[in-house]
Amino acid sequence: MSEPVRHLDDDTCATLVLGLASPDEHEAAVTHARTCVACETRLRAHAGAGVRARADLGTAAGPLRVVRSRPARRGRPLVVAATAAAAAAVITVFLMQAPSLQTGAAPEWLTTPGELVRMRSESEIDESLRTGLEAYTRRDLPATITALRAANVSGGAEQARRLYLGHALLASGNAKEARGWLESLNLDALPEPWRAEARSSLAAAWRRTGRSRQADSLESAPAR
Amino acid sequence: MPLPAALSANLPGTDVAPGAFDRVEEPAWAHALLESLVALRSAHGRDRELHRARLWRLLHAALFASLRGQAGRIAPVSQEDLEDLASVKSSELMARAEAGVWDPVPHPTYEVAGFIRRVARNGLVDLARRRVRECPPPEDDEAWDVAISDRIPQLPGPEDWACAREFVSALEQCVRSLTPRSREVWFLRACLERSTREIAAVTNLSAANVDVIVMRARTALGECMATRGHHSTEVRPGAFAALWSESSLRAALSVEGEA
Repeated sequence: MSEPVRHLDDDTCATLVLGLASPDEHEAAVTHARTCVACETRLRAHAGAGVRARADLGTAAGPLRVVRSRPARRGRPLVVAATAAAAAAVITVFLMQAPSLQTGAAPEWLTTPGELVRMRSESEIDESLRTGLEAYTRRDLPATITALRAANVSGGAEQARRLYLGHALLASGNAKEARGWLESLNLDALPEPWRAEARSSLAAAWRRTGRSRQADSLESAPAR
Repeated sequence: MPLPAALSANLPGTDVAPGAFDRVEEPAWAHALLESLVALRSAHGRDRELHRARLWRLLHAALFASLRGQAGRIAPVSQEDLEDLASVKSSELMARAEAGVWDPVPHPTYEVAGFIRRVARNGLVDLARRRVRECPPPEDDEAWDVAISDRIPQLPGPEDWACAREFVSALEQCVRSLTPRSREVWFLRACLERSTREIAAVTNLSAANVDVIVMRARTALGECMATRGHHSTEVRPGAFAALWSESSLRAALSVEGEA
């Protein structure tokens, strides 16, 4: 009497693709798939998804770019120097540490204000914005989000608020809200390296909220 | 059975009613997920990154399996929809597992499997709702299953199987004549229909390189198959299973031995 046919269900296919099946199980499954179109198609779909997972691992959708638990770095308090009224076009000039930009992936952290931030504005910097940027420098995401939500600024400073708030939300796993903030940015008005980082972050937010095609399009479009 | 609090805590798309978990079959990925989470907690430095990568793949595969297993009952979806959902939900679960908001470790594997299935189901329901807002649902109830079944080619008859076996055997020999890199890139494109971006990401090649390698591999395979009396390199039934079994990609996708 022949053995009953054992078709490959989705869990079995996942087990095979993950390499969790024993050699005998694997051999039996593949032998069956060679003669069962439905099971082969299913296995193929899972193998394809495995490639997608592997590709996402190295890019914005993967976990290596989500939240990396690292000890907060202590920085000296930001020194804010009021200067001229160019806030309309460009928000800030950051004397930065090393940019952490990587092509095709959202920056783990945006280029941060180093030990000194100079704002091009004659007006006093909004206290909540300052607190939020300081918290971001310390990698304190909840405090960043709370403070930047409360900040009431305009012009270039508002662009900075949206960018850092969007990125903090993205890094804390709230891609949906992050997407809203990042979409509201005027990317072309941002100075480098924030423009490139904002593009990468927006692409990451789109990818994590299921808008892969838009993300692909943004990532493949040449930056102006 | 009440819902374990740690499993339901503040997870998007996981508004599971108390008592919603039935005892479900325990798939191998559920055991592996729990082991991976335990290992991740005690890992540091480079080791931690390896465990995170392993957990990511396990979550993605588990969610994809759960999504695909339920998709036909909930919404018309494409393979890309399912992959997108698997990536989105995996990211969310990863972030919450690392933040300690999601802690399945104290729970039995069948609860973990049930939870993952519920996350997948809720993701599908959300997708269906969005789609309904964007376009009307299908008139025919059977249309819900079309997206999963329409990728299954027509079943071949006995004579077709004989031809297919001969074809697959020739294709296997020709594919073996390619260099390992060409073989992998061609396999990703021709058998798995992956985009250039994805292939470039997993092979560490540039997109332009990928396209060139695929083109040259296709030309080489076409010539090789022609000498064996076949004038096509189309991946016919049986070819994927045969080639996948030998592909180095199979080992690359495996989570075993990574961490």
